[in-house]
Order: sequence, then C-alpha cells, then structure tokens
Amino acid sequence: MDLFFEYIKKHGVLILFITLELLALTGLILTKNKPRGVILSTTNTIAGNIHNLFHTTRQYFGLYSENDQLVDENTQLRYEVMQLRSRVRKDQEHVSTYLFADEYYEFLPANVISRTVDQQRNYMTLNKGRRDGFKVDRGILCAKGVYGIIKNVSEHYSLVVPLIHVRSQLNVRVAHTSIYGVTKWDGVNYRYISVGDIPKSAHVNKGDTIVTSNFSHYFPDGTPVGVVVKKTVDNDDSFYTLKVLLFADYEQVVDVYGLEEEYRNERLFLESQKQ
Amino acid sequence: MIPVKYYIRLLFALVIQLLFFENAPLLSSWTHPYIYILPLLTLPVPVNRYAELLTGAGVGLIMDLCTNNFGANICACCTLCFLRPLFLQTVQDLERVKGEISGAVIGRREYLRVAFICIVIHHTILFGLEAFTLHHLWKTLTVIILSSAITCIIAALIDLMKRK
Repeated sequence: MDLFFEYIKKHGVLILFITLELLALTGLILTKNKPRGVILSTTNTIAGNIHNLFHTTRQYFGLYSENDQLVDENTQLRYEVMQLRSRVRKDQEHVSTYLFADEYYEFLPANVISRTVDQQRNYMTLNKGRRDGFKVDRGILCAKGVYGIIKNVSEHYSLVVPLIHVRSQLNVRVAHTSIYGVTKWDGVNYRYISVGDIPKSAHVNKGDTIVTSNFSHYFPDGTPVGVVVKKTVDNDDSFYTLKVLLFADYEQVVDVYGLEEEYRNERLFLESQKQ
Repeated sequence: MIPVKYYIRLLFALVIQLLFFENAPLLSSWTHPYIYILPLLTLPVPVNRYAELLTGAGVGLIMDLCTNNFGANICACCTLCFLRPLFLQTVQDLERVKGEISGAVIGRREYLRVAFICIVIHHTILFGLEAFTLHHLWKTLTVIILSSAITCIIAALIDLMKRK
C-alpha cells in the first residue's frame, strides 16, 4: 500500500495530466458528432477485422473435419454415380441387371500417408487397413482415375502398388473403342506409362483417353487412366506403343478410394472353375 | 499556489479572446489565433505542477463552454501546461529562475523559442481535434501554421511592451 501511495506521489502530475486528457477527449467524443462518428467507424472496422481474423482462424482449424465430410460426401456421390451409370446402360441395352453385377462397387475413403515416385518399384501406404474393409488385390482410385492395386494389408494400413511400378500391369483400352492393351512402366518418369501391343491397323490418335477395360478384375470398365501423348511403332513394325500421360499425379494425390466389388468372389470362383 | 494576478490576466485574455478573436470580422477562416494561452506561458516558476495543470484545464474548460467545443481546449491547454516546464528546462536552468517567465527573465530569444514551441503544440492539438480527420490535412496544417505565426507575433509584441 505504501508503495502504491509512493508511486502516486511520484507520478501524480503525470497521472493528473493523463486523467484530464482522457476526460477532455471523452467529453469531445460524447458531445461532438464528427469525432463520435469517426471513433464509432474506426472501432467498428477494428472489431470487424478482429472478428474476421477469429472467423478465419476457426475456419482454418475446422478444415480437417470439413475435409473429412467432403470425402464422405464424395464417396457417397461416386457410389451413386456408379449405380446410375449402371442403370442407364441397363436401360439402353435392355438387358438384365445381373450382367452388370460387376459394377456394384463400394467406395472406401483413405489417405496416402507415404509414397515413393523415384524408384523402379514404387509403393504407396494408405492410412486404412483390414479393420476398415480394405483387402488385398482391390483397386484404388483417386479423384482423376486409376491409382493402383492393394498388394498387402495390415490391421490399420494398406500397401498399394501404383501404375508406376515396373511390374505393374493393367488391362486397358482406348475409350469408346475396342482397342485393348496392357500398361507398362519403364521406370523413368512417374507421369507417363506406356500401353503396348496396339495393332497397327487400329486408329489411335494423340489426345485419346485410355480407360480400364472390362477384362480388369480391379476396376469398373471405363475408369480413366490417362491420355495418349505419343504413338510409336514397335521394332517388328506390326504394333504401336502408346505413351500415356497419367491422370493420377502420384506426387500430389492424397485422397483415394478403395474399391470393394459386391460380386467379386462370385466372379473369381466362376473363373476358377475353368481350370 | 499561483498568485491572483495571473488569474486576472488569464480572465482578461479570455475576455479579449472571446470578444475579439472569436468574432473578428478581419480574420479569415484560415487564421484563428488563440491569445488566451499567453498568460499560461508566463506562469511563474517554481510553481505547483498540480495547480498549473488544473489552471490550464480550467481555462480550457471556460473556452470550451463559451465556444461550444467541449474537450478540445482542455486537451490542448493541459498539454501546454504539462510540457511548458520541460521546454523551459531545455533553455534555462529553472533553479536559478524565480518569478514570472518573460523575455526579460530568461532572455528574449529563449522565451520566444519556448513560446513558439508551446503555441505550435497547442494549436496543432486544438485544430487537429476540431478537424478530427485527415481528409483536409493541408488546410488544417495551413491554419495551424498561420494561426501559430500570428499568436507568436502577438506574444512577442506583448513581451516587448512589458520590457519597455
């Protein structure tokens, strides 16, 4: 208390000066319209900026949950699109639903948590595993198209072999045609793969889209893979090899979807009977 | 405490200010000298700082009430009274000075220097608070400069007359 009084005594003039100034300024602001308007406008602007800052910060920290919601919504929409496509084709071709049973897929969202793109045998790890419904030999899609195939799963993680793996192969075709081929990766550039064994008689042009074929066990027919950027003639002069720019940018993709085919086991069992 | 004669001077200066300078037809909107602060510049030393500050606030309050501009004059006068001893200290050792501050006591040049700084500060605060915007900054600055110049000339003339 003594210290307080000593402080007041020591700085009394300054305190009195500040008090008088504050009283005078308060009186000025309260009695004159112009200063009051300026002060109100300024405080409103400052308060608005502070609110905006808080709002932006809250929004930023809410992005994770928002992203999860969007992924769930996307999954649901993809599922519905796939069902609708199937129905449209059924209506167009007047055939039974059973023939398109292979298009009844379930989508399981996941995130890529580790990746390599600069090796001969690249692998990606997903943050979802057996517990979340992921199984070996299931296809993985990203927003733009084919991503890879699950090679192995643990309880919480999955290991994916992407198209940019020197041993990775996928049955594909040129969109809207019956020109079939198999993908290969030469281990050089992770943005490009090649599609070989295209008959020389086939009409394939630069810019044509490559999609998965109906021979694929992993993906629905017509799933986008990439776009043709170059066409070269093989050594034996009877086939083309297409250079394809992949839709999936493996360096960037984070959100992916695991595919679970409803009648997969039935199809595999039936196909195993012929051996 | 401050001797009564200084309060009489202040009242006289206020009357002159209110009767003449607040209604002078010769003065344009670009010049508005405030001579009522001149007696505040001459308050004696040593002086009770609280009394000095309250005197400044009182004079400002009277001006505010008479000109319907509450707050601006109090603010400007308090600042002047608070800073005046600091400026005086820079030009003269105040421990050697006793009594009224004038050109005769501290030197004409020193007195005018202190008076000039105090007047400019007072006028800047006063016109700044009256304008309360930066939109007409050049006009406000011009009014401050012209008004301060006239107030300084009047302060110099009064000081000259006192010496004679």
